[in-house]
Amino acid sequence: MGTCLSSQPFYLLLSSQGGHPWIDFTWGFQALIYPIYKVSGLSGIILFKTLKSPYQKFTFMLMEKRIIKRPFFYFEKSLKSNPYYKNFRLEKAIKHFRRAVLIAKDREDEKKNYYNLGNCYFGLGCMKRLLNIIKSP
Amino acid sequence: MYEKAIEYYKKSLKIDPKFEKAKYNLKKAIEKVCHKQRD
Repeated sequence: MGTCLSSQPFYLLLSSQGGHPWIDFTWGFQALIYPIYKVSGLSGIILFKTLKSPYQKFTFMLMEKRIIKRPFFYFEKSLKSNPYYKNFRLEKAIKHFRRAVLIAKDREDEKKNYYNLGNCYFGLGCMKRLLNIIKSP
Repeated sequence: MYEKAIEYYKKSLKIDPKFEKAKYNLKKAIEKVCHKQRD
């Protein structure tokens, strides 16, 4: 029973092998926050995984809950840097629909793909317009 | 982007002119373009 989890203290379970205090702290922090995200919804989990440092994750969480406005590291240089854009992935959808138009079996299938392509571009336009609104306070 | 959307809606309407969803969305996209020009 040497490898039993209950035989080890809590801080050893969470800590890395090096025993670096900052890493240990962040691991513990993540272990505390992750279940909250899991309960709150799927979108939360995706955003949680895409962001890098735990500090960034925490600040983003606060931003999502409208507790703070924007952290200092949050630069919106382009459309792709916007974390909300990563969930939509409209450019990838456009790529797939273009292929689908080429491979389309019937005329109806082609029609639907063109319609979906239009919708994707419409969404991109909306996103760009929204970003312009956000950038100009 | 809205202009491209208009192009694709028109293409879908060429294939089937009775496609109501595309008609509705085309109208919206044209409205957006007009709104941008007004601004």
